[in-house]
Amino acid sequence: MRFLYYDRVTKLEKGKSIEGVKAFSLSEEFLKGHFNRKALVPGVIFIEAMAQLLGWLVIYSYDFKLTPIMSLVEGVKTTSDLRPGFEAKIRGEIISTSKRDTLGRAEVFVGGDKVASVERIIYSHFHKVDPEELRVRFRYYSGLELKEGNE
Amino acid sequence: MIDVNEIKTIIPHRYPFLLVDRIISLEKSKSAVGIKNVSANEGFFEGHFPGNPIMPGVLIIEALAQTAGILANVSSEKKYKSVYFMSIERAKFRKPVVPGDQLRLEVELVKQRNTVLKFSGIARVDDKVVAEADFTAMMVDMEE
Repeated sequence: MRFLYYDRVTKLEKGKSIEGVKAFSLSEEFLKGHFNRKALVPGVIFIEAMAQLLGWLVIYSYDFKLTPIMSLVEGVKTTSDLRPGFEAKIRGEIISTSKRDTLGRAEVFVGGDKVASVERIIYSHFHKVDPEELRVRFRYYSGLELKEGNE
Repeated sequence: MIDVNEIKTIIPHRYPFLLVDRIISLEKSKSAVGIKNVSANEGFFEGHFPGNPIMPGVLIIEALAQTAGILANVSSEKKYKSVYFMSIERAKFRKPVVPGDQLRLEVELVKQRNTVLKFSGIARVDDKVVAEADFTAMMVDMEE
Protein backbone atom coordinates (compact mmCIF):
# COMPACT_ATOMS: atom_id res chain seq x y z
CA MET A 1 0.00 0.00 0.00
CA ARG A 2 1.80 3.09 -1.17
CA PHE A 3 -0.78 5.44 0.24
CA LEU A 4 -0.75 7.75 -2.76
CA TYR A 5 -4.08 9.33 -3.50
CA TYR A 6 -3.54 11.24 -6.69
CA ASP A 7 -2.36 9.90 -10.03
CA ARG A 8 -1.53 13.06 -11.85
CA VAL A 9 -1.27 16.79 -11.37
CA THR A 10 -3.20 18.59 -14.11
CA LYS A 11 -2.73 22.21 -13.11
CA LEU A 12 -0.21 23.94 -10.95
CA GLU A 13 0.13 27.59 -10.10
CA LYS A 14 2.94 28.39 -7.72
CA GLY A 15 1.80 29.84 -4.39
CA LYS A 16 -1.82 29.66 -5.48
CA SER A 17 -3.53 26.48 -6.60
CA ILE A 18 -3.21 22.91 -7.74
CA GLU A 19 -5.48 20.45 -9.51
CA GLY A 20 -5.11 16.74 -9.93
CA VAL A 21 -6.93 13.53 -10.60
CA LYS A 22 -7.17 10.20 -8.87
CA ALA A 23 -8.76 7.13 -10.44
CA PHE A 24 -10.29 4.79 -7.88
CA SER A 25 -10.27 1.18 -9.00
CA LEU A 26 -11.57 -1.95 -7.36
CA SER A 27 -8.01 -3.20 -6.98
CA GLU A 28 -7.12 -0.54 -4.37
CA GLU A 29 -5.69 -2.57 -1.53
CA PHE A 30 -7.71 -0.98 1.26
CA LEU A 31 -10.97 -1.99 -0.44
CA LYS A 32 -10.33 -5.61 0.56
CA GLY A 33 -11.16 -4.56 4.06
CA HIS A 34 -13.60 -1.74 3.38
CA PHE A 35 -15.62 -3.77 3.16
CA ASN A 36 -15.28 -7.46 2.45
CA ARG A 37 -18.83 -7.76 1.09
CA LYS A 38 -19.15 -4.32 -0.41
CA ALA A 39 -16.35 -2.14 -1.77
CA LEU A 40 -16.71 1.49 -0.75
CA VAL A 41 -14.05 4.17 -0.76
CA PRO A 42 -13.55 5.29 2.86
CA GLY A 43 -14.42 8.94 3.40
CA VAL A 44 -11.07 9.62 5.05
CA ILE A 45 -9.28 8.68 1.82
CA PHE A 46 -10.74 11.78 0.12
CA ILE A 47 -9.41 13.88 2.98
CA GLU A 48 -5.99 12.30 2.49
CA ALA A 49 -6.16 12.94 -1.26
CA MET A 50 -6.84 16.65 -0.65
CA ALA A 51 -4.10 16.85 1.98
CA GLN A 52 -1.52 15.16 -0.26
CA LEU A 53 -2.19 17.23 -3.35
CA LEU A 54 -2.28 20.53 -1.51
CA GLY A 55 0.85 19.43 0.34
CA TRP A 56 2.71 19.20 -2.96
CA LEU A 57 1.59 22.70 -3.86
CA VAL A 58 3.21 23.91 -0.61
CA ILE A 59 6.43 22.03 -1.41
CA TYR A 60 6.47 23.34 -4.97
CA SER A 61 5.71 26.89 -3.85
CA TYR A 62 8.76 26.81 -1.56
CA ASP A 63 11.03 25.35 -4.24
CA PHE A 64 11.21 21.91 -2.60
CA LYS A 65 12.96 23.36 0.44
CA LEU A 66 10.46 22.15 3.02
CA THR A 67 7.95 19.46 3.70
CA PRO A 68 4.47 20.17 5.11
CA ILE A 69 2.83 18.00 7.78
CA MET A 70 -0.91 18.38 8.32
CA SER A 71 -1.53 19.74 11.80
CA LEU A 72 -5.20 20.81 11.67
CA VAL A 73 -8.33 20.33 9.58
CA GLU A 74 -11.61 22.14 10.07
CA GLY A 75 -14.98 22.08 8.35
CA VAL A 76 -14.42 18.77 6.63
CA LYS A 77 -17.21 17.14 4.67
CA THR A 78 -16.85 13.82 2.95
CA THR A 79 -18.70 10.96 1.29
CA SER A 80 -18.47 7.35 2.37
CA ASP A 81 -20.74 5.46 -0.02
CA LEU A 82 -18.94 5.62 -3.37
CA ARG A 83 -18.14 2.37 -5.08
CA PRO A 84 -14.82 2.37 -6.98
CA GLY A 85 -14.75 2.78 -10.73
CA PHE A 86 -14.61 6.55 -10.96
CA GLU A 87 -12.19 9.40 -11.37
CA ALA A 88 -12.02 12.10 -8.73
CA LYS A 89 -10.88 15.63 -9.49
CA ILE A 90 -9.04 17.23 -6.61
CA ARG A 91 -8.55 20.97 -6.28
CA GLY A 92 -6.60 22.80 -3.65
CA GLU A 93 -5.54 26.37 -2.98
CA ILE A 94 -3.34 28.23 -0.58
CA ILE A 95 -5.15 30.88 1.47
CA SER A 96 -2.10 32.17 3.30
CA THR A 97 1.41 31.06 4.06
CA SER A 98 4.29 32.04 6.30
CA LYS A 99 7.70 30.66 7.11
CA ARG A 100 6.22 28.36 9.75
CA ASP A 101 2.95 27.17 8.24
CA THR A 102 0.44 27.25 5.42
CA LEU A 103 -3.34 27.54 5.48
CA GLY A 104 -5.34 26.20 2.57
CA ARG A 105 -8.60 24.71 1.41
CA ALA A 106 -9.52 21.92 -0.97
CA GLU A 107 -12.36 20.10 -2.71
CA VAL A 108 -13.00 16.81 -4.48
CA PHE A 109 -15.41 16.37 -7.39
CA VAL A 110 -16.73 13.19 -8.96
CA GLY A 111 -18.67 13.56 -12.18
CA GLY A 112 -19.35 17.22 -11.45
CA ASP A 113 -20.61 16.61 -7.90
CA LYS A 114 -18.68 17.82 -4.91
CA VAL A 115 -18.04 14.75 -2.75
CA ALA A 116 -15.60 16.16 -0.21
CA SER A 117 -14.23 19.47 0.99
CA VAL A 118 -11.97 20.97 3.64
CA GLU A 119 -12.60 24.58 4.65
CA ARG A 120 -9.35 24.97 6.53
CA ILE A 121 -6.26 22.84 6.50
CA ILE A 122 -3.07 23.90 8.23
CA TYR A 123 0.33 22.40 7.54
CA SER A 124 3.38 22.91 9.71
CA HIS A 125 6.58 23.30 7.74
CA PHE A 126 9.59 21.08 8.29
CA HIS A 127 12.79 22.35 6.82
CA LYS A 128 15.04 19.30 7.12
CA VAL A 129 14.58 17.98 3.63
CA ASP A 130 16.52 16.93 0.58
CA PRO A 131 15.20 19.24 -2.17
CA GLU A 132 16.67 17.10 -4.95
CA GLU A 133 14.91 14.00 -3.72
CA LEU A 134 11.61 15.87 -3.33
CA ARG A 135 11.99 17.22 -6.85
CA VAL A 136 12.56 13.73 -8.25
CA ARG A 137 9.55 12.38 -6.37
CA PHE A 138 7.32 15.22 -7.47
CA ARG A 139 8.29 14.73 -11.09
CA TYR A 140 7.42 11.04 -10.80
CA TYR A 141 4.18 11.50 -8.87
CA SER A 142 2.82 14.51 -10.72
CA GLY A 143 3.67 13.48 -14.27
CA LEU A 144 4.75 17.07 -14.89
CA GLU A 145 7.92 18.10 -16.64
CA LEU A 146 9.66 20.58 -14.40
CA LYS A 147 11.97 22.96 -16.13
CA GLU A 148 15.24 23.51 -14.29
CA GLY A 149 15.61 26.98 -12.85
CA ASN A 150 12.02 27.77 -13.65
CA GLU A 151 10.36 26.58 -10.46
CA MET B 1 -12.63 -6.35 26.99
CA ILE B 2 -13.57 -6.94 23.37
CA ASP B 3 -10.92 -8.79 21.34
CA VAL B 4 -10.35 -8.49 17.61
CA ASN B 5 -12.41 -11.57 16.76
CA GLU B 6 -15.40 -10.10 18.49
CA ILE B 7 -14.71 -6.67 16.95
CA LYS B 8 -15.11 -8.32 13.54
CA THR B 9 -18.59 -9.45 14.50
CA ILE B 10 -19.49 -5.86 15.43
CA ILE B 11 -18.11 -3.79 12.53
CA PRO B 12 -17.52 -4.82 8.90
CA HIS B 13 -13.97 -3.45 8.62
CA ARG B 14 -11.24 -5.96 7.73
CA TYR B 15 -7.53 -6.12 6.93
CA PRO B 16 -5.91 -3.84 5.84
CA PHE B 17 -8.48 -1.32 6.97
CA LEU B 18 -9.34 -2.57 10.44
CA LEU B 19 -7.67 -0.05 12.71
CA VAL B 20 -8.73 -1.17 16.17
CA ASP B 21 -7.10 -4.21 17.79
CA ARG B 22 -9.01 -4.28 21.03
CA ILE B 23 -11.57 -2.45 23.13
CA ILE B 24 -10.44 -2.16 26.73
CA SER B 25 -13.44 -0.38 28.15
CA LEU B 26 -16.89 0.57 27.00
CA GLU B 27 -19.83 2.25 28.59
CA LYS B 28 -22.94 1.85 26.44
CA SER B 29 -24.19 5.00 24.72
CA LYS B 30 -21.42 6.95 26.40
CA SER B 31 -17.78 6.16 25.77
CA ALA B 32 -15.24 3.58 24.67
CA VAL B 33 -11.49 3.12 24.73
CA GLY B 34 -9.79 1.17 21.97
CA ILE B 35 -6.21 0.11 21.38
CA LYS B 36 -4.35 0.10 18.08
CA ASN B 37 -0.80 -1.21 17.96
CA VAL B 38 1.16 0.51 15.24
CA SER B 39 3.80 -1.74 13.71
CA ALA B 40 6.56 -1.09 11.19
CA ASN B 41 4.84 -3.63 8.93
CA GLU B 42 1.76 -1.45 8.36
CA GLY B 43 1.31 -1.15 4.62
CA PHE B 44 0.79 2.61 4.67
CA PHE B 45 4.30 3.23 6.01
CA GLU B 46 5.66 2.17 2.63
CA GLY B 47 4.51 5.42 1.11
CA HIS B 48 3.86 7.68 4.10
CA PHE B 49 6.60 8.64 3.94
CA PRO B 50 9.51 6.94 2.16
CA GLY B 51 12.31 6.77 4.72
CA ASN B 52 10.21 8.59 7.30
CA PRO B 53 7.34 6.44 8.57
CA ILE B 54 4.54 8.56 10.07
CA MET B 55 1.02 7.21 10.52
CA PRO B 56 -1.32 9.26 8.30
CA GLY B 57 -3.47 11.57 10.42
CA VAL B 58 -6.60 10.55 8.56
CA LEU B 59 -6.03 6.96 9.65
CA ILE B 60 -5.86 8.05 13.29
CA ILE B 61 -9.24 9.68 12.68
CA GLU B 62 -10.45 6.51 10.99
CA ALA B 63 -9.29 4.47 14.01
CA LEU B 64 -11.22 6.82 16.31
CA ALA B 65 -14.25 6.50 14.03
CA GLN B 66 -14.07 2.71 14.07
CA THR B 67 -13.90 2.76 17.87
CA ALA B 68 -16.94 5.04 17.74
CA GLY B 69 -18.64 2.56 15.40
CA ILE B 70 -18.05 -0.26 17.89
CA LEU B 71 -19.48 1.91 20.67
CA ALA B 72 -22.54 2.75 18.58
CA ASN B 73 -23.14 -0.85 17.55
CA VAL B 74 -22.75 -2.27 21.04
CA SER B 75 -25.11 0.42 22.32
CA SER B 76 -27.82 -0.22 19.75
CA GLU B 77 -30.03 -3.27 19.49
CA LYS B 78 -29.49 -3.76 15.78
CA LYS B 79 -25.92 -4.88 15.19
CA TYR B 80 -23.46 -4.87 12.33
CA LYS B 81 -23.97 -1.42 11.11
CA SER B 82 -21.30 0.50 9.39
CA VAL B 83 -20.22 3.97 10.35
CA TYR B 84 -20.23 6.30 7.39
CA PHE B 85 -18.01 9.21 7.96
CA MET B 86 -19.82 12.46 7.13
CA SER B 87 -17.89 15.33 8.56
CA ILE B 88 -15.11 16.41 10.84
CA GLU B 89 -15.80 19.66 12.62
CA ARG B 90 -12.21 19.89 13.72
CA ALA B 91 -9.19 17.62 13.99
CA LYS B 92 -5.78 18.46 15.40
CA PHE B 93 -2.64 16.43 14.89
CA ARG B 94 -0.22 17.20 17.68
CA LYS B 95 2.51 14.60 17.50
CA PRO B 96 3.63 12.17 14.82
CA VAL B 97 2.64 8.55 15.41
CA VAL B 98 5.45 6.18 14.46
CA PRO B 99 6.12 2.42 14.37
CA GLY B 100 6.17 0.97 17.87
CA ASP B 101 3.56 3.35 19.23
CA GLN B 102 0.43 2.07 20.90
CA LEU B 103 -2.55 4.27 20.17
CA ARG B 104 -5.11 4.66 22.90
CA LEU B 105 -8.35 5.69 21.20
CA GLU B 106 -10.78 7.42 23.53
CA VAL B 107 -14.18 8.29 22.11
CA GLU B 108 -17.21 9.85 23.62
CA LEU B 109 -20.71 9.97 22.18
CA VAL B 110 -21.63 13.64 22.35
CA LYS B 111 -25.00 13.68 20.63
CA GLN B 112 -27.30 11.32 18.80
CA ARG B 113 -30.21 12.07 16.48
CA ASN B 114 -31.62 8.89 14.97
CA THR B 115 -28.80 7.41 12.92
CA VAL B 116 -26.59 10.50 12.99
CA LEU B 117 -24.05 10.51 15.78
CA LYS B 118 -21.62 13.13 16.94
CA PHE B 119 -18.44 12.00 18.63
CA SER B 120 -15.48 13.54 20.30
CA GLY B 121 -12.24 11.57 20.20
CA ILE B 122 -8.75 11.78 21.63
CA ALA B 123 -5.84 9.59 20.58
CA ARG B 124 -2.93 9.19 22.99
CA VAL B 125 0.46 7.55 22.96
CA ASP B 126 2.09 7.08 26.38
CA ASP B 127 -0.52 9.41 27.91
CA LYS B 128 0.39 12.22 25.52
CA VAL B 129 -2.30 13.50 23.20
CA VAL B 130 -1.29 12.84 19.59
CA ALA B 131 -4.56 13.75 17.88
CA GLU B 132 -8.03 15.06 18.67
CA ALA B 133 -11.12 15.01 16.49
CA ASP B 134 -14.76 16.02 16.68
CA PHE B 135 -16.62 14.15 14.00
CA THR B 136 -20.07 13.14 12.79
CA ALA B 137 -20.97 9.75 11.40
CA MET B 138 -24.05 8.00 10.16
CA MET B 139 -24.97 4.43 11.00
CA VAL B 140 -25.90 2.41 7.93
CA ASP B 141 -27.08 -1.18 7.71
CA MET B 142 -24.54 -3.59 6.31
CA GLU B 143 -25.77 -7.00 5.27
CA GLU B 144 -23.38 -9.70 6.49
